[in-house]
Amino acid sequence: MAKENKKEQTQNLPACVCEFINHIIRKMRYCRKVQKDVRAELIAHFEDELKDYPTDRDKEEKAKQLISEFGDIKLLAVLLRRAKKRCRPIWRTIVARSFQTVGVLILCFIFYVIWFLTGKPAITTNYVAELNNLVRPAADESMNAAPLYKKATQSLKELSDDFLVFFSQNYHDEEYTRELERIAKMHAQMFLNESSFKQMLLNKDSSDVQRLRQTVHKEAVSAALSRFSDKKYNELTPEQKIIALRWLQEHNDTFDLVVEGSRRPYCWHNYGEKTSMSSILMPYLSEYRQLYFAMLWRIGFGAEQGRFEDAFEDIKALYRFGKQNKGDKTIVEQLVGIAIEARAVATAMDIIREYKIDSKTLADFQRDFEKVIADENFKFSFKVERMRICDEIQRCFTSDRIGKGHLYLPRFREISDIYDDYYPYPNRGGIEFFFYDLVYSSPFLFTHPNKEQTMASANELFELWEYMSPKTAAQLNTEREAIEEKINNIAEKNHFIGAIAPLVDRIIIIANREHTEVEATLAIVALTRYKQDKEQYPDDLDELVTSGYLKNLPMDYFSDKPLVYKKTGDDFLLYSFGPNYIDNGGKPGYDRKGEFRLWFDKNADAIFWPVPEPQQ
Amino acid sequence: MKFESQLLKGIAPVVVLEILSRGPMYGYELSQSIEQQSGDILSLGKGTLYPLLYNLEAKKLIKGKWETNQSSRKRRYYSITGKGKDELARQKEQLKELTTGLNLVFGGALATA
Repeated sequence: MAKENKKEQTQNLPACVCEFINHIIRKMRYCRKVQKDVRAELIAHFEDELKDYPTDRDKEEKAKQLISEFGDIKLLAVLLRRAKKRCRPIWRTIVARSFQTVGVLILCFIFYVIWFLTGKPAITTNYVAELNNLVRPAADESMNAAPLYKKATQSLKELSDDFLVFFSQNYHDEEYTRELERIAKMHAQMFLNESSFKQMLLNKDSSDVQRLRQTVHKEAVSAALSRFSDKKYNELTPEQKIIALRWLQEHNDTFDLVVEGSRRPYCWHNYGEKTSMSSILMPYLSEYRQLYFAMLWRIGFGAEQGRFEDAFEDIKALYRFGKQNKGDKTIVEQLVGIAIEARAVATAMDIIREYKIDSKTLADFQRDFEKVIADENFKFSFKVERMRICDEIQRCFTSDRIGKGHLYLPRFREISDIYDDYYPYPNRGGIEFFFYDLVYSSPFLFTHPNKEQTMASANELFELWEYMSPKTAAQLNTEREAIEEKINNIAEKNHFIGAIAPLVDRIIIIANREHTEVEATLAIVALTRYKQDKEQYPDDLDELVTSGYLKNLPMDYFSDKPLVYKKTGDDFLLYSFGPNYIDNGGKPGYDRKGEFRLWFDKNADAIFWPVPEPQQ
Repeated sequence: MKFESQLLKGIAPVVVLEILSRGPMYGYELSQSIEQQSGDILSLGKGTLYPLLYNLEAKKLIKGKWETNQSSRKRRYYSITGKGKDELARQKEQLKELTTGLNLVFGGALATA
């Protein structure tokens, strides 16, 4: 229709004029209404110019002359457009400019997103390799306890047929039956078709079925035993104690390996290569758990059988085992080390409390134990933790290509699975990534401090850790508000750091608890010896030191004073100020079930002696 | 004699306003009128005419309106606005002063030529 209109308008004009006008209008590149107006006006102009020329030839010639007088088409089109633009009303100019601005902003945003998304982190430092160097002392492999522990954990899994029969006869509980069913089912699924498996089982005397039964049984026992060995000695029933004793006897060599390993000066592992710090696996820790419980069983049996020297030897071995996991290691390893040490001293206190042990055995234990702890650093090391955070920064922030220094979304989403509350938006994945992650999480990601700023925040935090690490719990408590404020400031400024940084204050308190427990254990041994020798407890702890039973006054790191000692008739009370840092007069703490818990109750003291009775 | 284009460019708007002050005209008519009334001395280039008209329209000195002429053809007639008249008066005043100045410089030679 529009084409026909144009044709109609220009039918009396020579072709060169039509072409000329069309060319100008095309070059004008403006809105149709204006183009139509200008076209009509130019057509009218040419009509008027050519109206007096009778023949087409004359018209054609005149038209060519006129066209040349009009000058350069492009320039004319530009001048026309510019002049017409000036004619439009102000509101249209505002609207046009607004749209242009929005368009430019959208374009900028798109470029920014492209810039943002094309950035990739550059892994410049292999922190795992650095960690392997850090934990590796300048000593040969014969100084390393880890291979012995590995050998010990491997031998724990080897069970004689004799023991399997004994275990299955004595351990018929739900756990075992469930394991048996699960493993049988798993074996059934391994056959191509279930019916042939059932058919095979019908033939009870076949050697295949016999072999299968043995396999299933062995695996079930092994799995059940693995759970069984997670039980603490004092949780074992008399029947279970029989099984445990038999199992211990069968693995005497295993425990000798642990004792031998604990005498070695170091324990180091290779954390692997080409992995990030956050993906370091420490499978040996779960195996250590089994060794640790088994050692506690052995200590328990030794004490029950009156072999106190053996029991104390194992306690010292267990403590050394824990100590080897401390130092410049990962936080998890250090915490495991602390837990093992704490359990060792708690077991020593239990034995002293429960049995009458002669003064010489106690003195020997005290002397040896003092040697074990003489060179021990009870402070937490954050070297490896610093490396972990630095490694995470290099992996979570872009470093090369176009987008530099911003949070790297894929890695950020990946580690959000590692650290629970790390990423404020759940990982949807797939196509939803664009609609969900980009739309909802972009404002957070795009506004997050960059790599350099994050590194500065991390350094600020590391400095604070250095400051906090040597402090006692009591010292930390006096500065708690100031420290918390500093930590909160860093976390508020930088969500990334706030989310991945460990709760250092709590970790330091755990280390202080264990240190206080060690001091209390030595004090209890010394007090017990004093009582045996002098038939009464000393009036105060100073007397214990002056009479040579204890080298130093036992410190309470929750008060920065000696532990509180009170003579109570024929017994005594020994406690720390505990989690609230104040003397509650020896008030014991209980959990919700009414069970006594050493550090649980924030309104109570940590009572080491005597063990309070459970609440009614 | 034709004017140098740069010189004409400066006075073209006032010439257009002056012609339109005598009555509405469409593009072709206006260009013809300028040539006739200036004795063929002043002539607006064809490529200059329409951009000039649109610019004057944008400044609200003239306004254009589609109308049918005597030969029943639709033409866009331009007429001077009130603002255009004021501007014309101002420009004329300036031209008058310019002529006086030039006459003084050329010793009256411009007036007698």
